[in-house]
Amino acid sequence: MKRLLQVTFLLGNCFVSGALADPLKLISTSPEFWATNVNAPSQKKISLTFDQRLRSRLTDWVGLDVLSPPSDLQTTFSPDQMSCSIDVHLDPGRVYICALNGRGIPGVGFQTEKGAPLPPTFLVFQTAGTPTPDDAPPRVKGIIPTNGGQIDPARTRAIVITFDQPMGTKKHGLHVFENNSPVDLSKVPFTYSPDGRTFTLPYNFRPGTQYRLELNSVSDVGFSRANRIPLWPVQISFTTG
Amino acid sequence: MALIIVIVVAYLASTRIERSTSSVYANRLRAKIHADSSLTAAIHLLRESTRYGNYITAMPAPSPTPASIYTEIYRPTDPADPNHGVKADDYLQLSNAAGEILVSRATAGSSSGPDPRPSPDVVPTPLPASSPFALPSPSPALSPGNSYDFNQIVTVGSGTGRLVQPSPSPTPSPAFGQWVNVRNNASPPEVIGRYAFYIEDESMKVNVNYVGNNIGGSNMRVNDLSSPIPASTPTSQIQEIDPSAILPTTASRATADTTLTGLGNAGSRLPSRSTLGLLTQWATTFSDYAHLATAFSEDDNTTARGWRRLDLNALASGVSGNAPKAAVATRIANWIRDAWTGPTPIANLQDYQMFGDDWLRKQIAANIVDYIDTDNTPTDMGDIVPSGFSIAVPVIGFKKTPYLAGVNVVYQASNSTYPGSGTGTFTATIKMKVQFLFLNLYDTTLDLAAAMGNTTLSRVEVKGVPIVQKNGNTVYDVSSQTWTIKLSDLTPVNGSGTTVPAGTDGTTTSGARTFQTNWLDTQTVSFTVAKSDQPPKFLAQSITVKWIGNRTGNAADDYRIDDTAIVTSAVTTKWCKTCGSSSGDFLKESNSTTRQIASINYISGYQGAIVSGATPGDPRYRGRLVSDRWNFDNTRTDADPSDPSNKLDSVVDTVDINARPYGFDWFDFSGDRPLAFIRNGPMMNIGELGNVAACEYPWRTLYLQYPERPANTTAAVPAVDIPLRRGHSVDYVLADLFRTQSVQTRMGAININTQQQLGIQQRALGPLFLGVPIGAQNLSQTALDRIDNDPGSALAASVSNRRAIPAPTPFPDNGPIRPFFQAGELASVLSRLVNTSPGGSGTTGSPGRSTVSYDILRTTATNSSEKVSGSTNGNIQRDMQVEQLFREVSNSITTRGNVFRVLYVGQALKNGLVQAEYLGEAFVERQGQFTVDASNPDITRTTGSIYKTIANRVITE
Repeated sequence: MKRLLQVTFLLGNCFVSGALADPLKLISTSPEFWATNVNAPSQKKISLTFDQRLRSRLTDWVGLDVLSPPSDLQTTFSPDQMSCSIDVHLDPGRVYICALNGRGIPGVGFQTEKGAPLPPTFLVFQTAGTPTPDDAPPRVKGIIPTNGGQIDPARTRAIVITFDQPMGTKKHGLHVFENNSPVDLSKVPFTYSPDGRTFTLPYNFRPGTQYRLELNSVSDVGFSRANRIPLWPVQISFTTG
Repeated sequence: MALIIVIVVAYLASTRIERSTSSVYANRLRAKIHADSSLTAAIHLLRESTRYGNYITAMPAPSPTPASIYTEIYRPTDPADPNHGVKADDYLQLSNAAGEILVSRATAGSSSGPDPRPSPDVVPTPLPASSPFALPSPSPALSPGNSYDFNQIVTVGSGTGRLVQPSPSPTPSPAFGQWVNVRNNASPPEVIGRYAFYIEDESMKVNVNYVGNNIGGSNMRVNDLSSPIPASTPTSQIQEIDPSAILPTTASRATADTTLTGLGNAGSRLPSRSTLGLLTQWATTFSDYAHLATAFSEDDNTTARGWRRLDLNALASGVSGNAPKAAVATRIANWIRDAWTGPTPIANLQDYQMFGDDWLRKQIAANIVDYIDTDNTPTDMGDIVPSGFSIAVPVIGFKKTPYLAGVNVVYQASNSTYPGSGTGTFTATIKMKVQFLFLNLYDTTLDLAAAMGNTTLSRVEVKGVPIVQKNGNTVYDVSSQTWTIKLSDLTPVNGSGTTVPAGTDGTTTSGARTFQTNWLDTQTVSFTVAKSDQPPKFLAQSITVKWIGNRTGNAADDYRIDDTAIVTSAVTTKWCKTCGSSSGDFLKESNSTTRQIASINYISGYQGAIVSGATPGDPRYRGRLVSDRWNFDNTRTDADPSDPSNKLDSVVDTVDINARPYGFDWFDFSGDRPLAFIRNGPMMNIGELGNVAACEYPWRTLYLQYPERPANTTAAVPAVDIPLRRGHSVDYVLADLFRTQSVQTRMGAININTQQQLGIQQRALGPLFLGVPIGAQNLSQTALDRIDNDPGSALAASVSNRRAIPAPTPFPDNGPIRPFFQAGELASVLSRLVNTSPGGSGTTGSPGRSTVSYDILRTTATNSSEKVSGSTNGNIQRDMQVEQLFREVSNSITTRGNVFRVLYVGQALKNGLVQAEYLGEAFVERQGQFTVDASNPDITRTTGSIYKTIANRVITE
């Protein structure tokens, strides 16, 4: 009988799971992703527009250990439930991060009325003004392999990135694409140099392959300074002989 | 010679007399033979329409009066079948109907044998809403020239009456049966006789042999919502019907009932209805109401397809242990899927029409099992993914227990090292505890110990308490830890014990109690104060709460009472409600005293409808997302005892619901108590399905009301949602799929398509309703007249008016005008009579409390003064009884009978002259033959019928 019930449940689940909900997508934001020179005094709100109606009241603007803009987090939804905003108080010369569904907790944060969530998305922007040294975003000084080149996979055995500032060493924001297919790097060990400026990831390149490297993106701001100021995204591509 | 002549003459005379006598006898025999042919033809006609049990019988509306009275029969047919034969295993719909009038019909012929019968009439499809669903009048019209009028004057009791019906007196309508000529095989064939018949469905009348039991006893017309629960009606008794309602109002109805039931128990009182004419109170006017009474009616109590209904009480009563209960619930859910006879195919149903969704069917099925099952343990169907969604949700039924209605996570800071100014890193001590609010929807005090057992394994498991963050740094994070809280760890915030009181009617906040843990965790934390300092935040979180019962102490006996998740959004905290923008930081301001904040979460109405922090709802609501029913107050985290207006204290022991706007079914006033009803025993009638929570929308129980009932709210989303759901509800179909009687072939159910009447106060439907309790009062003759006859309201129509055109336009559940196809369709008509919801004043305006107006119960339906609290009409302002009228009659109604009265006549003809006539009356019983489906033993189809003549007599010859 127990087995019968299990089978019944499975069949039932198969029956009802045929049409799953489409994931939620962001159509536009204000400020835009990775915007710079955002006018702090006039940017009173941060707003998001989605491709579907939102499940009312559920938001997640704040992630763990990010640079959230000062806000009471009281979210205003548009009448069509496809846009929402919060009031903010921005300072000049600062970098802010809204970690939208940043922790990816099931059921939490921005989602459609059927519960399909927005994937973790980081809305990073910088306000106009001269940043203090602490607020300056890091920059990439060099990457091996180099952009546009061709490498010998037998000789190049790692990806090495150097930054102009010490970086937080507990995570990274590197994504590798082989012939446009993403590579899972989650279990690949990585290291930073003792000064935090050089990142190294061992990698076995495949011959005759096109590679693209993405350093940070809207879904990952792993490359950031110890004070959480992130690297603005960098992309390079190369091939192997 | 003279003697010889005398002898010859005498012989010739004797011979002539003998020849004459023989001729008369032969003609009598011929007439009898033709009459027998008539009866055979009548049975054949019945067989052609009824053998699969998926027919309905009806009577045309009395107004406009048909030229001839008759009974109609409709059956599903294959549109491609030129003979329009009954289609097995289908059910009657607007798109597949063919029908007959149950009288003899003939087309002109010249061949040997009887004239052929015309083909059945097909109801056009699609039928415009403005065109009544009805059979065309016979053409050529039935008339004395081509028909026999069976509405003969006959001796009835001690007087004279009519063979069919006396109404309208003194010249009742004829009851024609068209002559069917019978020709011999001569060349050319000669007409040698003719016959005609007239058929009535005995379910259109009141079966005095089975109704009216327990007169004056505890089971008579019990209020099925009363507490303690009334003893159930005996299974041998068709549910309470008062047969004396067919008597004139001048009769002593109580005496009449006593006299009748004094003859014997149900089924063994009267050999025929004629015996009624000998009884006190019944004798005097017998000839007037004889056509309203019968002693033979029965029906198979099958679904519209002719399948045997599933007996819910037999399935769910006495089942113990989750696996057997889940198996029963699965059978019920699958039965709903397989036996469904709704107006649209399941595949095309929308999600709020629950029967297209496996998840919702199983949730409802579990609720049905738990409504009947007597234990205190909910039926757990496991986790199921709702259609169109991707995340499974728990499917757990409801018992008569407290319901989890609030979860507040309280954080207390103390020993802060922050000196009051400056920046830097500081420390504080943080403690955390949890409060639970339990809600009692019912009429009696409930006990947590009874709900969850009282063992060391009776517990609540909480995980995912919100993280406290300040200036982007995590301060306190135990979100990954599961906190196991035993029943013994819970103490009430006020008082002692583990009980949750019942609500007090009229008090909106009553019926809840808050319990809390001791401090579950104590940590020293560090926090930073920055130059542009921000207050602490709760991060968005999913707080999972698993409420687990255990009655044995054995882990294998764990059972889920609730398994839910409260999804919160990030919120900036404040320990005080009114302190300024620069204060309220519980970390910074706890150096010399403790400060408390809380994540305050409570039951919610409907996510799309929630107005900020204001309108929580139904703790039984199981949405398509596990967190659907929860609200969290993202404007309030203040929980410090030093602030007397703090939010946390305001929700202690308090129901914070506003059921009125979201009340889908019963409850449109937040002060109504009790808020729900569970039988915890066998259902008294199938209408009790309307008490079962649907879980599809807050406060929505299975909807056995009228589709156009408005929502009592102007809130944007529910103002649309509720009418949408009400308008598209097809829940009434369930009343035709299930039964609660143990006996399958049911005696005495009354066909709601009857139009049998005498005047406006004596109707066959009257016994269904006379004395029915509706809240605080029983239906009087005045109310009965409004149910039976036109109540004179543009908002409501009587039951009988289902076949008439109610002004100004048909109701949405009756366009085109048509008979009841299924018994459940009566629910909307009755609820409309009870609750027409015109508004607060009775006609217009926004109601101050309830939209109920109780048209038929009110002295003056639109008299707003009756709605004032404390008025003489105790039903006004109560919304709990809207479905009661249907419940009370739901086991006693049908749309098809098994027993037919056949009046038949045969005439022997010679040269066009009538030589002899035989007029008889027979009662023919259809006996269904059932076959169990090989693939699903719950499906028992009517695969054929046999027809037995259970009584037959000559009237005249």
